[in-house]
Amino acid sequence: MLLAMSTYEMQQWAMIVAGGVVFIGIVIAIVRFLRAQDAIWPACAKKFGIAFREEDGGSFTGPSTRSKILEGNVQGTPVRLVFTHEQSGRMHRRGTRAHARAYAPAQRAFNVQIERGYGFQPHFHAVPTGDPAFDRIVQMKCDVPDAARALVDPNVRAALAALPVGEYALSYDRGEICLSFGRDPSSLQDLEIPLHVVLASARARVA
Amino acid sequence: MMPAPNLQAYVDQLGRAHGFGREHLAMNRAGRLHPSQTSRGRRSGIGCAVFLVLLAILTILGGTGGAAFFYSTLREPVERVDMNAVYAMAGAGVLLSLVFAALAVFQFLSVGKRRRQYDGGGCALAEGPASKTRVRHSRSPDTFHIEVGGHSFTVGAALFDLVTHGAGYRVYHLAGDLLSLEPG
Repeated sequence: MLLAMSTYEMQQWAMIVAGGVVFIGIVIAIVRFLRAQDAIWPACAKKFGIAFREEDGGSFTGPSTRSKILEGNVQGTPVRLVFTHEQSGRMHRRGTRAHARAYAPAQRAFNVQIERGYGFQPHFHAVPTGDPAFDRIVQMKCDVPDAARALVDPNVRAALAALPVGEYALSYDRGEICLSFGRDPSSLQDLEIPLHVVLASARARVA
Repeated sequence: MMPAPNLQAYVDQLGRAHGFGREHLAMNRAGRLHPSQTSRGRRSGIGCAVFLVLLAILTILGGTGGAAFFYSTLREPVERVDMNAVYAMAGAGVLLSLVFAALAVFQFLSVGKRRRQYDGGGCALAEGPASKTRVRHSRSPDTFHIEVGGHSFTVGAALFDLVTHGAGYRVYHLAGDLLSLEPG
């Protein structure tokens, strides 16, 4: 049968087979990528010795919420990292929050906006820390500068400097610490570094 | 390293990003509206209402006109199936037109309500830490929202970038519109 084919027919079949191989390759790559993304959660849970679980809420037709949660105690500090994907119609809202409780809670509440990797831009709420190497790569904005400086001690600065490029919000509410950002964690570092930030912040002394 | 802007320079930046000046802010602080804010607020939404009225007219003309044209091309005796098509075209045109007309009525009512609020001449104040949210939409541009004191406002990207998440602000607003704001 193969011999009976004309050159043109054989070229057509070769194109179909090549297209099929490329399509299957793309499908396999997507599946491997999604599996690799899912695998970072149990890997992070194992590394920190905490638990991982997933939660699904909502309905198929209405608004839905999907969450991935890491929770447990790390060196005596309760930590929790939650990724949430809310979908309502064509609107998608994604966010990740890492929480920890300060060792010595101060009766203060403030928020710090953190911009990693955009350079220093003059701003009314800009809070230089006095550490030029840190200030070059991380910009903090806060309306309570003394509290922000007290929170970001050298250990916290080291953790913040390791964050991927992006915008983050670090809040302190009477000892409850939360680092939040609006993207999907796509690598193990996207989970580890926020946990390091809140763990370091939990040890910081906020007067 | 460039110096950080002082309070007045920052308020000016916010004003340029959102379209208000020192005179607008001064009047809003006193609980009043600047005349340009009143005229802008009164105009807002009227374009959408007019567009919906035009859509209602176009759909009724398209549906009934199309049905009339199709009927004129038919030869006697007209088949029942052809008459059904004529009724379907006219009916769909009327139905769509009614939907657009109803939406236009709601829009006009909403514009009327806004106008009454703007005609009152006063504005409200919301105070507290700003919470910033960027909402991503599939197949349409992202939208930027700032929530202060329990009130949520849709703002442009420029103002969104200037506002500090978690910092305290005083927002002067009316009918869901952010008129002006300042740190505090």
